[in-house]
Amino acid sequence: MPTTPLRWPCWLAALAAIGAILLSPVLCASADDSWATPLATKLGVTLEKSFDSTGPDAWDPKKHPLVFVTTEGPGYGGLLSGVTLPGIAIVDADSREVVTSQHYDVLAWGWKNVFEDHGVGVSPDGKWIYLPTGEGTFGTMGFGRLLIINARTLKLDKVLHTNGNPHHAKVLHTPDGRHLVMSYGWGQPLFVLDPAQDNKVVGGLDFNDIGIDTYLYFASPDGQEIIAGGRFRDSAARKDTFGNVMVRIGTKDWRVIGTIPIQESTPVWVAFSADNKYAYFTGAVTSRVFKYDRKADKIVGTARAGVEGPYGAHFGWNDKDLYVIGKGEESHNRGKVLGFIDTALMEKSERPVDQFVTNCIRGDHGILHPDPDANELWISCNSSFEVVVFDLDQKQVTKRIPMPNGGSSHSGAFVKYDGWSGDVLSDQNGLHGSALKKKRELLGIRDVGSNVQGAPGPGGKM
Amino acid sequence: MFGIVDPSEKLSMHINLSSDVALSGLRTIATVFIAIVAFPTCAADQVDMAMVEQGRQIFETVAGVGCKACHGPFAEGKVGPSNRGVNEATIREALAKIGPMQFLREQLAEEDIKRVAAYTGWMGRHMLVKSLLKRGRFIPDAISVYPGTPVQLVIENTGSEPATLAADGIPVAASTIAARDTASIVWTAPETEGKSTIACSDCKIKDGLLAIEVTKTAKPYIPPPQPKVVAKP
Repeated sequence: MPTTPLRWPCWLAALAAIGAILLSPVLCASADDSWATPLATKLGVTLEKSFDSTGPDAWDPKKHPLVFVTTEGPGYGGLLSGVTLPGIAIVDADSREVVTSQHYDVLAWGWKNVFEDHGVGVSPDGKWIYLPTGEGTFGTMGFGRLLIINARTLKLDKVLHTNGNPHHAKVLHTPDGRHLVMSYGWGQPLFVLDPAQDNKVVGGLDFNDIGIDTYLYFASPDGQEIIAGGRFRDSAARKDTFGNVMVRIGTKDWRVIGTIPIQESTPVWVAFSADNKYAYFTGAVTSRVFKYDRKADKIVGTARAGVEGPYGAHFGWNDKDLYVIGKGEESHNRGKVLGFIDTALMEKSERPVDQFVTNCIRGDHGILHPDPDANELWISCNSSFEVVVFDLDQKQVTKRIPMPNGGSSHSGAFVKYDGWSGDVLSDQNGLHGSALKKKRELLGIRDVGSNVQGAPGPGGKM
Repeated sequence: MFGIVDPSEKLSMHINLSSDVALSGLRTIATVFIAIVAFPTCAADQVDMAMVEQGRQIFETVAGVGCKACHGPFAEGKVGPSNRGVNEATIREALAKIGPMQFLREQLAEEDIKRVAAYTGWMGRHMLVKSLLKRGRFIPDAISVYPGTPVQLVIENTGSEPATLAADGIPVAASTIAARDTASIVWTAPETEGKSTIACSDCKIKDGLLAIEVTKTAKPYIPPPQPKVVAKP
């Protein structure tokens, strides 16, 4: 736990929590009312703690100009790592060596337990790391937390309190030039933070606005919309009911702009083609992938996922071969394989092309390495406590990166640093910024969206 | 530009490069065929190479996806089986009996089937050897071939920059594979044992070599038998 000086006027809150403080080296600040926005209040997000996160550099970006930021947490579902605190690990994306790791002693604040970090995000400028966690488990309400970490010092800067336990965090570039971070969780609707405005909530909508619970959210490459999968809260319904919808949300005013009927009770992931034309949805119960034509606004093809209980779905650099992470979602939840689909075949055949063994136990997300010559998918392994590097050219795992303290890895983001000016090039939502631009150049895609400028966003020194 | 060199012409060297694919930037597995040493002339090799080339084009493009989508870009097998060496009768039987091939039935004219069969037959007479060129290194970086074997050596440039191949010990001129493109080198190993190499002369990593050994310790190539088609709905 990083130690930070007390910041006025937080001493009152610090006194009120003196018992917890005695156990913790951290002196924290209480919520700042000026941070709250009407949207934050509506979406159940409050600023619980804030800290002075300045201090000595925790790592050297000159030595490691391209890094992979991932989680290192306790694990879940009966496969526990021994790590007890939420944490992050930073890996050099070229040498594949662990640069550093940091854990955050939330138990010292009196938390009863730690909910596994199920994702991690980095602000578009590389300045902040977002680590979802909380207390309780998947359905717990009222104890969610999103830790906001200074990427330079790896000290906590803020703790946001959320109603539901947060799940993921990732970059969102909107067509009007905003460079944001979106997050959501179990029972926690979408909320969007603006790193340039002290990470205040500037976007999002609740389940009443949507009309249905939703699960995961993914932004289109043009940034114009977010597609979320409908989620039945009742697990029995998730097994027995096949009619569901994907929900389209406009990023201009955070309204539902449409729904897409889908014959899948538990849609999970959304992967967009780089040309903005198609989106691909994974279905955990049917173990299928659905191809959605964005212009025609309908599903135009399906294929078997090549795995049982698919979760993430990811393109490599050719934007044609889709790799489906066989997590075993809504099934055995011990998946260790990768499905391979030729998307060009989806309107002609339901067959996947192949399946590859990774032995990445309960792998969930793959993050595409931003170097096209690498053409690697870095897959986080929740329960074999490692990141595996799957070479999409050789179609095999070429490197296993054990987590430094044996913790659980869950998602990740590739960030390029020039000094301390960062640029998120790839996360669970696919490529961003200059990497997406490069992909479009290689593929000859000229009809680019408004969010694919080479500039990373607000940039600036930390 | 694509092409297949007619082995019956006994060319000592013929290079045909695909510059249009480089322009498109698409990794279409377009083939660059380079004949290095002529094949022995015999009745089996007296094939209509124009027909083979037509068959290759159909194989790669029919119905917008090509036979290659299921059978692999060099018919080596993918979700569908390898069809290197399959003949016209087998193709017709598969079209009639294999459910996932239904969408092709109305796409292939009678003559098209003959052309595809000419191409698959031609492939069946060549041993397929594949190597990736990734970040200046060949994977695998060593291959062995039995003397006198007709070989289709496929080198896939996985990089985002063109790669120039330079050979030592085999008569092939320097040739460039476009970014994310594939070269297919058609070659008959000499009857005598020996070693040769192919290098990437403009890759960032310079020490990568593909070693080709012609040796009697290698497994002799036996063209695949005609597969039996099992009906699938």
